[in-house]
Amino acid sequence: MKVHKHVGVIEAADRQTLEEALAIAAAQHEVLCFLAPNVAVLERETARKVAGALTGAGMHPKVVE
Amino acid sequence: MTRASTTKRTRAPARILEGNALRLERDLILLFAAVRDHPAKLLKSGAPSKTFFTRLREMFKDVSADAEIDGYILFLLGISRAAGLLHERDEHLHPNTLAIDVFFAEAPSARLDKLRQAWLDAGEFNEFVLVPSLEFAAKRDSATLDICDVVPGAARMRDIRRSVLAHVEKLEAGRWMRSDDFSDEISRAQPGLLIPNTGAGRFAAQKFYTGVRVKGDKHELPREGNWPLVEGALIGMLLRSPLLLLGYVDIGVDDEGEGFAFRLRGADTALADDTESKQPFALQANFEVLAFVPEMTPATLWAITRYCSVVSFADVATLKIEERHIAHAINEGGSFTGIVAFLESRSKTGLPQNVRYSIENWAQKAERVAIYLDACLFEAEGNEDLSKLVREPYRKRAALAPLAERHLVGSSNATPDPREGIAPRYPVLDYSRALAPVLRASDDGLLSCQSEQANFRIVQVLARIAKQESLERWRITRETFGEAVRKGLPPERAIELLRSIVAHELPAALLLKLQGWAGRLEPVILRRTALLEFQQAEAVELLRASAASRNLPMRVLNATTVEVEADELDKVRAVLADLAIPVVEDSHS
Repeated sequence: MKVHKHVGVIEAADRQTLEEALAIAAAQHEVLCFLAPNVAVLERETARKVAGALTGAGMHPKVVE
Repeated sequence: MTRASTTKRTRAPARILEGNALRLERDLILLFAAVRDHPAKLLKSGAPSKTFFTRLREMFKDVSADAEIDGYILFLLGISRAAGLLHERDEHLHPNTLAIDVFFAEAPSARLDKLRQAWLDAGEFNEFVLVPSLEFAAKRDSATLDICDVVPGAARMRDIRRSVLAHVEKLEAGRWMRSDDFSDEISRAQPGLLIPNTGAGRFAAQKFYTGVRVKGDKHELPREGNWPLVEGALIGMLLRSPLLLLGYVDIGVDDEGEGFAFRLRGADTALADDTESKQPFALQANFEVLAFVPEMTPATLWAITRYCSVVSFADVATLKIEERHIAHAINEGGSFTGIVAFLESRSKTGLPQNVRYSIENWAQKAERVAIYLDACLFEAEGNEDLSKLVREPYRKRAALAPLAERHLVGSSNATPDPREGIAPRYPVLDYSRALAPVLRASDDGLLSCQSEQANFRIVQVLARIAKQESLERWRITRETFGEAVRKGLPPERAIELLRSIVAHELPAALLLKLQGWAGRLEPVILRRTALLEFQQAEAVELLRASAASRNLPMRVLNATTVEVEADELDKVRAVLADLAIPVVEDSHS
């Protein structure tokens, strides 16, 4: 086991939703790792960028500070 | 209640202004909605931006009739921040929704106590700079609070509030007193209220209110004889604004408009009334909510405002249910059934079907993406079971949620130190700083590191340029490198990335390979040549000395070996024959 502290994480309902979310923020190539088809790990700045892009696009992700 | 010996009494004034905690709380709700819909950018001074302030001024122009709007807004912002109902994030002010929920769930007396304490503690609000009859010389352009020595800082302002409040609370409840007389009393009892009298200190020797002028006057005020204009005005501001709004005093104004009087209120007369009608709003099919504000408790008004934007805010407020607010409520732990149950039970007109369907749709959409901006992620490896490795009390305390089968996730901000929940042998990788490069590389392109040291940044690079062979081994080959380049990774960047995750310098042989794959090595010229192996060095000298050999493309490698172009062998044979040097053909060539 190991613990990763201070990373960004996006969990979507499915793979397609995750891909869409990353595409809206143009962050597809900034994913550090996919833990599952619907779960991506990113740097914190990238996660913030995705949250901002989704909000700007009229979507309402659950944002955990 | 004891009465101060010097207290003067005055007759009852013609017009009385009473503090109204219920109205104060409604205005706070309007403020929370405004901050939620337009998060306020905070300047370096901690004050909200001018744009935000202008917007608030517009929203409050109808609400704040008997208080200066700017001062009233600053007061609301100040006590909200001090009470933790608004908080700062990313240099913006946001409503602390959960804290507001808890606040409105409390009894009216507890809420009023909390607001009063917040005012006493407020550091972002300074009544002195709001005194309308005074103006201040700024030390720097656009400075607001840091303007002159006399203006009290946050700590001094807290002391002044407590002092004035202590003097007010010594008065007999219900007895009117002129504010000028009250100011005189304090000037005698506490002359250092604004400028502390500390004996030989700098302030004691100060002859002027440095940087303070009466509005429209060009000269600084001397301290002598001007207490009523400065300290008196500040005391008047405290009485007319926070002490009135928080229900400590009532204010009385004479018809002449000269000065004013006040009286201390009884302890239980300032509380908000927490009774309401069962169905205090009407919900329409166009998503508009007509809220009958006087029939609502602040808790209900806040609950409906959480789901709505504010269209207008008066005794009958017009609100509008919007997707973003429903989504926000869902994301903060609300549920579709909870929202619907609240609306159905409290709306006079029930819940229109189209509104219900929309809310259901919005709630489903809101649950489709969750983003942890600053996560703490526990990752199991091999056959490990996180439910056993992460201690249960810690899991509950940190509110860790399962993620992708083999992980637990929580917010780094809310998660206690992970070391408290796991055995010391497990690594904690902190991505807020540069992580140690731990990868080992060999000449043949094998890349390896212990799995517990492999952080996501290493894994990301390896996934782009190498192929995984086992849990702890990857290999970079010409094919994997070429594939990365084909996908848009510049070769130089690929080498740079690999260097950044390798513990030591890249092995020279691997680096040469990478440079070759990157197209950095100069091309090799492949030539067909023949070697002449002489038995005697003298024969070589004879060949070099001959005139015929000067036009031959040949190179002497050592005393007995000469290299010539393969295409020129016939000419070489002829020259050697001319020099009588016998030639034996190598049967293998």
